[in-house]
Amino acid sequence: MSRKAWAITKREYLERVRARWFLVATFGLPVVLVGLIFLPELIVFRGAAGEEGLNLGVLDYSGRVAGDLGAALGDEWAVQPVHEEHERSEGELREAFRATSLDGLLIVGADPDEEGSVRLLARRVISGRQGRELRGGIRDALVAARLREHGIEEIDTRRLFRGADLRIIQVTPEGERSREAFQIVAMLFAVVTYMMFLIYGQLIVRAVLEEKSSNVVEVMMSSVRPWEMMLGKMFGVGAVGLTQIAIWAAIGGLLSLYGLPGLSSVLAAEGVDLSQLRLPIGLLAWALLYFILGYLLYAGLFLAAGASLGNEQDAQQVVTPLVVIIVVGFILVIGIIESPNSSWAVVGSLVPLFSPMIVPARLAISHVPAMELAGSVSLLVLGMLGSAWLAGRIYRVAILMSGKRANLAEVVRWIRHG
Amino acid sequence: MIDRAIHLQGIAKSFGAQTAVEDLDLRVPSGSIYGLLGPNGAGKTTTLRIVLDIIGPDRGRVEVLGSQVDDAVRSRVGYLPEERGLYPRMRVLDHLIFLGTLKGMHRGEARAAAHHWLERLGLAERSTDRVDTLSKGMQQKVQFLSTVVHDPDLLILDEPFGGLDPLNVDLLKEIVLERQRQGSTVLFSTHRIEDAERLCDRVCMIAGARKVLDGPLGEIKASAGRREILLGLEGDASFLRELSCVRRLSDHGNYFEIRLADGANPQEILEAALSENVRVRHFELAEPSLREIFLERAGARAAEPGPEAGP
Repeated sequence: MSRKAWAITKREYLERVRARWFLVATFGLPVVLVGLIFLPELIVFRGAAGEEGLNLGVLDYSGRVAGDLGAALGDEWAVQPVHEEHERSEGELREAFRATSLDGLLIVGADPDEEGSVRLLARRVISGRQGRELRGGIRDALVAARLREHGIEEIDTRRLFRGADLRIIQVTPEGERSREAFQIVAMLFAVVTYMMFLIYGQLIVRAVLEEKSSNVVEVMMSSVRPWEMMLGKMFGVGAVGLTQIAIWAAIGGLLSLYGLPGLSSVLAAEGVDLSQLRLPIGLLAWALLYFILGYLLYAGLFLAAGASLGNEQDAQQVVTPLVVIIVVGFILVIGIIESPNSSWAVVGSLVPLFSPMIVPARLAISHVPAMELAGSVSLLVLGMLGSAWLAGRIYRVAILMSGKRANLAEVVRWIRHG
Repeated sequence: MIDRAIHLQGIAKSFGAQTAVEDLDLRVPSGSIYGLLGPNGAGKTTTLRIVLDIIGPDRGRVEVLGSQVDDAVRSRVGYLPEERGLYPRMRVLDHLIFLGTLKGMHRGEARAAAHHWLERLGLAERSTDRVDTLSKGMQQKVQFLSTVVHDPDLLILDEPFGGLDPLNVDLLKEIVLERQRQGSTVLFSTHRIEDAERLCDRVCMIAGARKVLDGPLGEIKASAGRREILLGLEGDASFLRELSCVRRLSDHGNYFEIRLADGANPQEILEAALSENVRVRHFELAEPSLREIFLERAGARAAEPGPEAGP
């Protein structure tokens, strides 16, 4: 790389890293992201802490539920059987329930197996968790009753239904890894790559547009070659992205060392044990390689798009197809993480536009054959060079055009004749 | 030292169906101040961009400072484009250093030169301020500085006086003359012929993508082969129209530009004025103005600036 391209890289890098935007994005984005992923779960957990069992009356016409329900539900619930001599009408029951101080009245019909015969009258909204607990309690009580009918007494129904804690450990040539933990890693790779391509692609478009609108481009062109400007811009902006990722990785590393209260318990509930997570250096190296190559590929495309544009409004039109491609890639990755050995995964790994998002995720959760990997990298390198060539052809002509947007025919002419 | 700083041979460039420059030859001698004149849209900016290798010509040869334009040549040229522009968020000093390094200077060298020039133009206190916090006039100054900070052998200025306040115009002229004294060559374009007339040793005029005039200013004027009389009068000036020695009369009210018929004596005009009952306030024998010559050569339509032109 020439000295001039290096000077431009440095300028682009420093201008962005020194901007307030960089701090906001670097430290704000992880917060937002963690929030989006874990907020729903955190809300449930917080809600659960202040939420008690209900004070429940049970009117049991079948005589099979009320006896065991209290034990099945546990101490948080207060269950008191209600006795009625005669079967009452629905209206009368509601009237009577209103007069009590109970949170809810559970009515079990003479035959609980009959559809709709078990009903709960509730004074307040019942939370999802309370509903689940109650359903489970009724089921356990009914199972106990049915077992008793078969002569089996004294059985712990909770234990009866307990499954096993299945942990999936993949034994690969590089060692063992837990499926759940590495699924999170794969997701993280995919999300970070997806976001960075989108954000930094748009950043490049804006940088090119600003350079055109501030007219500084002509001064630059009297000193350097278009390709030097182009490379300087791509590398400079990309280095900002890498800096950001490095900061995130450092934060992530510190958190996994010292732990984030709440987060690990949330992950544990999902069957992920962070302490089991050891990221192999090889995996990180591959992820970095794919990120850099993929970034350069998209940077070239965004750069060419930005250069052939007149203003910010036009930008959206031309940038949208690129954004759609990246979003499609991300959707593919989500499917591929679910089934990493599908033919979609293999084909997607060979398409340069998608492979930077797909392959690191696949590498995290499963083994990718060496031949496939070699093919994928070679095609990505070819794609990256093609994009740089295309961008160069368009950039050096388009960068001096001001005002109107180039039409497709013009762009094709620039590519063919330069 | 090469005697020709710039040598263009048979340059042609079109954009689509529009011809910007057609078959242009240009020789700019080393150490001269050379004016590239012509109305807006005549192809001046395109010509300068071809000289700088910002765009390539469709045909023709370009030689700058004795060779084809490469990195070494580019480092010896300073360029002020018509559309000024700097990175708005950079600090003034950093910006000058940055542009200096793009001209092949080392950082230390560039820093020293930038300090020197900022000091000289009274911008030293603003050197750590962001460019976009400067007034427009100061930004213009910084932009000039960026064209000379690397001590170039060739200065190329595109419409350098457009949109400037008079103080900055004088400053720029001072720098231009100083560069010339130090042996640099200056090529500038303008649609304001008066600027060129005051500053240039040589001019080249283009109109409608073609060259219509080229050479040293003195020779051009001499070869026009005629003289003008500038006459300021109070009173009835209608007698001027009767005189046989007047070939052309431009009437500006109390002020007249008179071109004499071949072989006529300027004294005749003065004598006629004295014999009439008018007061002569001003009588001057002048060479024809560049504008007059240009109007004659290029035709009035091409020479008059378009609506967006003007000082």
